[in-house]
Amino acid sequence: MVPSHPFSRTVVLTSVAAALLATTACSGSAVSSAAGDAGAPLKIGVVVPLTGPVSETGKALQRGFELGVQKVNDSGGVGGEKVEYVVVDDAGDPATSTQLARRLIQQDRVSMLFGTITGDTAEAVSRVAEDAKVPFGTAILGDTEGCFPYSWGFGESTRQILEPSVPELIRTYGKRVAIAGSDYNYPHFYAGIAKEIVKSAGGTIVAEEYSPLGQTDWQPVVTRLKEAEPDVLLSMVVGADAVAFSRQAQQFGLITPKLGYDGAPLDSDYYPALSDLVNGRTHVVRWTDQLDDAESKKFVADYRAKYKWTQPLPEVAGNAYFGIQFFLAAAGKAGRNDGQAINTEIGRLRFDSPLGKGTHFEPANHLLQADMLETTIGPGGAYKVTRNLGPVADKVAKQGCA
Amino acid sequence: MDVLLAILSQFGLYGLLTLGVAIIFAALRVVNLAQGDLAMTGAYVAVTATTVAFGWRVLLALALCVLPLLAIERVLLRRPLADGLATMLVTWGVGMALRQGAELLFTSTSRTVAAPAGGTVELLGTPYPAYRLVSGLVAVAVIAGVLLVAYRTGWGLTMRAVADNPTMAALLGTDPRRMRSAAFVIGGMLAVLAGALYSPLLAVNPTMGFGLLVPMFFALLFSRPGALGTAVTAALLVAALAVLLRTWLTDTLADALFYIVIIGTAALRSRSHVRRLLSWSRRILSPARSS
Amino acid sequence: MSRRAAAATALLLLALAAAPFGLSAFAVATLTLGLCYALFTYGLDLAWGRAGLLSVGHAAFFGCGAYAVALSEEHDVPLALALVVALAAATGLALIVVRIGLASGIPDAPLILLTLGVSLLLQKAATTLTPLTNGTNGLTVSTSDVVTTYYRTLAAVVVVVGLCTWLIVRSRFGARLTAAARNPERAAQSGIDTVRVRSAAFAASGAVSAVAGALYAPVAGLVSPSVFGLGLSTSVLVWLALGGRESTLGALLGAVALTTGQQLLGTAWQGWYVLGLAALFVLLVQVVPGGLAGLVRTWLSGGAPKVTLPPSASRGGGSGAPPAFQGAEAPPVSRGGRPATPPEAGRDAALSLRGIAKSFGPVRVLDGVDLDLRPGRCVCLIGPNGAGKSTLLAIVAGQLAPDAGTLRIFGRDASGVPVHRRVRMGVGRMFQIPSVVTELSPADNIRLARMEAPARAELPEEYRDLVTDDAAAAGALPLADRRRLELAMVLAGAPRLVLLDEPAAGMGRQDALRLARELRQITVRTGCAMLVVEHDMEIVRELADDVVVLHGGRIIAHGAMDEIVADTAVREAYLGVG
Repeated sequence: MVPSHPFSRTVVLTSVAAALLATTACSGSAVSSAAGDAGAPLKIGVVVPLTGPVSETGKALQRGFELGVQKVNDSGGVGGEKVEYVVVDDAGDPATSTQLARRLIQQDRVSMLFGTITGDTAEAVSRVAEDAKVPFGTAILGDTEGCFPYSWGFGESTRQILEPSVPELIRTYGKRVAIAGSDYNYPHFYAGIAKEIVKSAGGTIVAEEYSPLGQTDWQPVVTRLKEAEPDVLLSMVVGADAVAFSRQAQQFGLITPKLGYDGAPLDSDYYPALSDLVNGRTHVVRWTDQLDDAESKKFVADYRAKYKWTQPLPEVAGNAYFGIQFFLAAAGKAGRNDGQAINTEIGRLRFDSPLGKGTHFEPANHLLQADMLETTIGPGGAYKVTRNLGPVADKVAKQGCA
Repeated sequence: MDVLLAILSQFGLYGLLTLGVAIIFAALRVVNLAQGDLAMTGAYVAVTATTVAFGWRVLLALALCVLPLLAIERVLLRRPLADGLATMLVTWGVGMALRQGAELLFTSTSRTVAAPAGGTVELLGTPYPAYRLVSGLVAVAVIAGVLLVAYRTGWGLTMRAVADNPTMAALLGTDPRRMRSAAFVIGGMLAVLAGALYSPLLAVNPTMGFGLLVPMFFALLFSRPGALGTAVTAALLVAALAVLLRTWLTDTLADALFYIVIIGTAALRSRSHVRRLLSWSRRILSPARSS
Repeated sequence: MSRRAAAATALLLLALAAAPFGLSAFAVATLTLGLCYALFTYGLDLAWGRAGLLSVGHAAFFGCGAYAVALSEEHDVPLALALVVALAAATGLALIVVRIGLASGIPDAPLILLTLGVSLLLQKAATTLTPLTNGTNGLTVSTSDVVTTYYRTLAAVVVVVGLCTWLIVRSRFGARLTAAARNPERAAQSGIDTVRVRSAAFAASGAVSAVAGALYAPVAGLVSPSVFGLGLSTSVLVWLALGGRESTLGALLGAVALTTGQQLLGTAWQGWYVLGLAALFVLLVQVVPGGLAGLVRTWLSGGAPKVTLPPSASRGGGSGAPPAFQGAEAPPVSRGGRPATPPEAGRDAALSLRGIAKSFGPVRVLDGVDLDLRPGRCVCLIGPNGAGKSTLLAIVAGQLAPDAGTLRIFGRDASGVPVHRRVRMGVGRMFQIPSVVTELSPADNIRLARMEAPARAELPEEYRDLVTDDAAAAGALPLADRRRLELAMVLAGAPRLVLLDEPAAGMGRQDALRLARELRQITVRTGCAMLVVEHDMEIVRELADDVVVLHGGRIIAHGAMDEIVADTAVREAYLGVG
């Protein structure tokens, strides 16, 4: 038999119970949760990946957001009160995003949510926001398949990118279009829209390839794409794969100056890795740090000064900067820190910013109707505006909002 | 032809990593879970030290890694000698620290290196990226060299003796501790070499080693412990399987099938009658040995 | 369980039950998530800790449970049905994986490969089958309020852990598992079906993990393919390694502590938190390989064995109480003496071999061996190195299967009978290197041997001290004592046919001769048959009724010691003359 020790488990268990209570004991108790407090400053919850593979984009979003809030606070805040915010790190994992979004609503009692980088985390937070009736803003490029009544996308939608760019690519390079993508939800959604637009622009799809995330060897895919002899390649290969794919496609002689190339790898995030490959190409964006207006210039200067940033500013930072100002303007109009009221105002608001005059959300899909810019990528990652395309509408209704 | 070249390139990468991990396994009886992350550090040296020519950068990476590898083996892998699994977990922790260190140092943004030999070469009528060919050939040459040393020199013999029976080897006058250090450094260097050599083909980021771990692991598990030759053969088979499936099928399907084949093979291999069948066929194929 | 332990458990449960009254909603939500992960870690412990089977893709089972809940909500399938299917799937999958793994001699490599492969395959499937699973975006799961979810999770965890403790950990099954995981060879030789016991534990581990996944789904609110991922599989290994294997509390605490730490410190410290965690992890594995529970256990137990058999092990089969007969009653033994009537065995030979052949690859080790062994007789098997003696012994014990020939034990054909069933037929075996469960105390070792014994056997006087020796682990015993313990274990199993492989190897002359005399006594007293492989002729002379000489895979001589010594064929075999 085991000799039983005087304090064996008692000590361990009691100390554990005590530690559990002590370490997690915070304000209040879960059983008696109070209602939202009135008259307090407006609080925003920010869910961004600050660790893991997409942490750089997450940090850019956070910085743009913080500068946006700072600007609003410098000019008096919302309803005379300074706006507060809480930043949490979801590491790009949707289950964590869900947890954290709930925590922000339940414990920190935020009246709006902002952030997320990847589509899956955006959808996860959207659902929490919908349950809690709190508006949620994203600044990511591209849109999700579904639409949620409390979610609003400040990034350009897939159609807003492709509608101006695809006909231009077909005109310049030729009619044969190939599509490559990482194998998950968004690239398939992107390809669906791309196919539609290619067809209406008189082009044909000659190849379509998807590869699981984390692919290191692209030879089979590149070979197949090359055999299709495309004039234009639209790529929604994302993350690290975007870099490896572009590099290997270049080494195999698929990506040459004669091939039209557009998609995720041309985003400014990848510029440092792919500069020689994308220099001189055109890319359609919503915002660039080269934009020649006072507000954008001040934002860029502040960003560079505050975060000691020398590289081109990621587009997501600009979208977040102007996006949160849009949200706060709506909150000011609503006049109280009630998620539902703010949400209604967001749906109605017309907001002037460098993103366009009278930017507003389309009720049928919750996408921001704003200007688009055609830029040419120059040395050093300067996305120089070559043409302002004006407001590009995307009114295609989506399930969930229509 | 294309397929063969693709296999060559993949085999070079998997082969270097697997051979390294097999050497470490032979001497330490530990699966080095930080192997992929060592490759990542090699790639980062190739990315950062842009002031010198690429070839020198690869050598620099190899030179720089010797002391840290020695330190890891001496300081971290010595103590839990008794429990192989604990040591394996230590290597996991080391890998995690390397990944996180790289993220804090270089951020998570992917980087690339320009290939030192750009352009393509004509091979039997098909153009092929020059550096891809060079890296594959260099990798295969290194693998062959290491195998040659392991099987044809006294040093290799001692090393394999230590792997087979450390106590016996100690009695015969070899210091198994020094052998362990040497094996870990060499195995780690092979990973660093793989990372540096293949950096122009890959996106260099802190988590790049993670993806390399799974094929390497599969290859190691299909090899015989201590038998470096079988590890290299297994790496070749894994590379060939991956490339062939992806050539014939779409990537998604190929990927799923890859795992199914691996699982199926593992299942069949552990069945004793299949094993017996294999040993018979081996005997038939090499009758010289049965006499 | 001692009264104190019971009181402490009750206290912990009370604290957990009261948690929602003292903690904020978020803290409760974090604790709920921690509980789900804790159950998952406990599930892994059943495999890695208790059954000694490492799984590096345990998220495969966790994901089954999580997806069952998510899919049932998405596609309007009754939850109960989905859960039953998930449990069946996880159990079935675990059984297939572990059976394949255990079919090979060293299960580690195939198991790592299979668990890793299966989890990655499931992750691919969840990513690709978008119409069913919504791909990487995952499926949402509705949640009730925090407190309800917490209590539901807590109740489920308590029930599952309680059930497992009762059925798997503290039962006789648990005792079998403890032995099977640590020393499969000795466990099988003690009559335990090691493959079955370990497979069952692994399957239970899969099922528990699936339950954890099912609890996790509503807590997380979203189930995406990452629930099958390598990230979660490795996290759970880390939680368990930190908490400590084979400790219910260690597993639970490791998971809860690290989950809470992640939520509390992760955001504040960001990348540095992960780096710090890695460093802490490396440090902990170095300093306390047994995890925190191991640390506590060492501190509390002093020199006593860290592993003990559950008390239920001493029920049934035999009890640790001193046997009834005294040493003085042991019948006096004269050399060559034989009991008049061999008990039980009747006229059947204890062992009968006909034409046994065995090859390893091209090498023919046994080439048609015929041998009969009668109850109460001791036969010594001698022969030059490589003659096939140990192989023959292994074939009789059941570790190896012969290529040809018949093998009858007490008249029954035993050719296809596995080791543990032969033990129940009365076969006991000692190995060349003493094989005991080194982590258990000598007393536990003997308890183990008694558990599956076909009949109750009393130990001779000189082994009684081992029956009550709970002070230290058997691994700490000197070689001679370990051999004594092994013999005691064999005897406690009430054998009627004892197989010994060089019982005196590594012993001093006096010890060896004493052992030989003891063995002699045993055959006389119990009437069991003995087959002994021995090199030392002095021992053989002391021990053997008959000597059998094996050479080149055949029996070249059979008879009394003096006849053998005079045999020319034997001299040729040994001296290489002719």
